[in-house]
Parts: sequence; C-alpha cells; structure tokens
Amino acid sequence: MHSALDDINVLRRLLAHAHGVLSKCLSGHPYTLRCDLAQEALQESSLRALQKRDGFQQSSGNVAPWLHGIMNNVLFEKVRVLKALAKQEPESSAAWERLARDLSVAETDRLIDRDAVSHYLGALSEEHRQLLQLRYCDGLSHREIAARLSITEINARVRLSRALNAARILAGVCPGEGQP
Amino acid sequence: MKTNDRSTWLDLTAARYLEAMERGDFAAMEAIWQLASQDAELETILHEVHAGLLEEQSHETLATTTAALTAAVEAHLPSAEIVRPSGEAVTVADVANELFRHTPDRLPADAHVLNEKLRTARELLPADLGLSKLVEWAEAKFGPAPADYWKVFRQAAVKLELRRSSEIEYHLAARPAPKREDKP
Repeated sequence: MHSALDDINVLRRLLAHAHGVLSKCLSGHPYTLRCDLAQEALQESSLRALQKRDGFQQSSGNVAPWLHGIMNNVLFEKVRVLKALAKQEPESSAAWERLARDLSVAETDRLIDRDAVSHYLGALSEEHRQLLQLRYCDGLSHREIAARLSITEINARVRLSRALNAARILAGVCPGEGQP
Repeated sequence: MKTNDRSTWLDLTAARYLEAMERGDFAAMEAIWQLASQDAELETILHEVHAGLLEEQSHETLATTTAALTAAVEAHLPSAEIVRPSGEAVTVADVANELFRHTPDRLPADAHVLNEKLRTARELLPADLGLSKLVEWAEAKFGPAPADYWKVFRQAAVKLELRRSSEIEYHLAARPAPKREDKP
C-alpha cells in the first residue's frame, strides 16, 4: 500500500483519472479550478487509502484499481458539491449486449456480419464509420489504426470508444429493442 | 472466451467507461474499476482512456489559449507580426505579406499593386533564390514589375527561408538526446 502511494506512476495515473473525470463532469468550469480540484482529489484519495488500508485484502485483487475506486468516490463528492448531478438512469445494458453480440459475429463470421453491422455503419458519421470498419472489418489493432489515421494510440482508443458509443445508441433504438 | 470476443469485450468496456465518465455516472465507473481489480489488461486500458482524454484536453487548452492570444494581439497590436512556427515551405503570399508589413521606402506605385496581388498567391518559392533566376521565374508567373521590387522581394524571401530553416534546426536540436552509455 505504502509503496503504491510512493510510486510516481501510480500517482500520475490517479491524477490523470481525476483530470479525465473533471474535464467531463465540470467542463463549464475554469481549467485552473479543475487542476486544483484534481490535486486536492489526489491528496484526499491518498489519505483515505491510508485510513482504509486495513480493509484492503491482497486476495481481492491489485491495489491500483482499489485506489482508483477511492479516487472515483472522492471525485463524485467533489463534483456533487459543484454541480447538482441529475439522478442517473440505469445503463442501457441491452444495447451494449446487442452491440457486443453483433461485433463478435462480425469478427468470427464475416459472411454473417454484413446485415448486423451494416445497420450501424450506415447510420454513423464518417469518422465513426471509418473507425469501426478499421477495427472490426479490417481487424486492425489500435496501434495500426493510430498509424493509419496519424494519431496517437491512446487517441485511437478514445475515438474508437466514442464510435462504439454512437453504435450502442443505434443498437438501443433498433426496432424491437426496449432501450431508447 | 475467444481472443476476438475478449478484445471486443475490452473495447466495449472502455467505451462504457468513457460513456459513464461523460454522463457523470460514478456508480458505473466504480463497477468497471471493480472488474479491473481482477483484470490487469482492463486496468491498462482504463489508464489509456484517461491518458487519451488528457491528451485531448491539453490540445484543446493550447488551441483556446493560442486563439485568445492571437485575437488579442491582432486587435490591440495591429503593427505586430504573429510568427507562427511551421515547417511548411514559404509561399509567394508569405513574402508579399512580409513586404506588406515591412514596406521598404521608395517603391513605385505599380510595385504596390503587384504586391497586393501576390498576397493571395499560394505558389511555393523556387529553390534557386538568385536574383536573376527569381526575376525570370516570377515575371513568367506574375508579370513584369520594377527591378527594385524584385530586389526587395528576394531579400524578404531569403529572410523567411532563413527563419524557416532556423525553426527546423531548433526543433531538431530540441529533441531529447539519446542517453549515453556509461563508460567503464
């Protein structure tokens, strides 16, 4: 536990977590405020981790995700103070499951994938369509997609995630499916 | 789970996580971190999502700051020149704009007319910036102009080419040097 909190890489990743969440949840707030909040959240998470260290069991997994779980709670509290969070609707898990099924079919049987995936591809923006085609039709890795689009690998990951979200929304509004 | 199914599942979980962040759904984020506590590959991917967002954020911040500064300089310091670092080749328009900002004395009126026309010319400068070659090239493309104009045009072209070369050298020099191996 102590060694994890002394590890500069662990701390950097926790800080990146805080910046990522705050940039999304407090996008209307000044950048400098978000930076200050991220630093505060890091300190508070470290403190809470030390206080709760007896509750962490090595058998329950790696310490880093446990620390990120604490960071998640700290950020939730900070965001709640600054912004009234609307009650969250439950995730549209049916749409995610349908998308997972369709994309898996697309990879394992390219003859069947046409109808299932063409529904998404036809309705997506050009950028999202290109990303899904490169990943699930051409079978490229994130690194290869990044090279193809002249972007970084982590940026390819984020863009692909956005494309999948767009496809998930389409999966949710498909006739016969319950989730909007 | 097949390898393909596994990578699809990881992609979808990363997408769910990003969506949860964008919705401010901390419960969903918490659930995904719990999954990551048993799955090192997923944990790495979640870190990549954070790093990707951070990268986007820094680009956005840089673009916003640059735009604000540029607008302020253009609005309040009209005679100032905004030097935009770029490795791009110098165009005729770049040179004409440089002459527009730093106009030499005693240029005839028709030289000003031609310079105004050249401020929109996107042609790249020729490789040979010797005066006679440059005049021959430029008059073939843009028509005749007073000899004095081509002289100052050449001086400005050489100045911009030198500035561009020094920028390129600066960027090359600014690259991190490889670590030296320790000598015994």
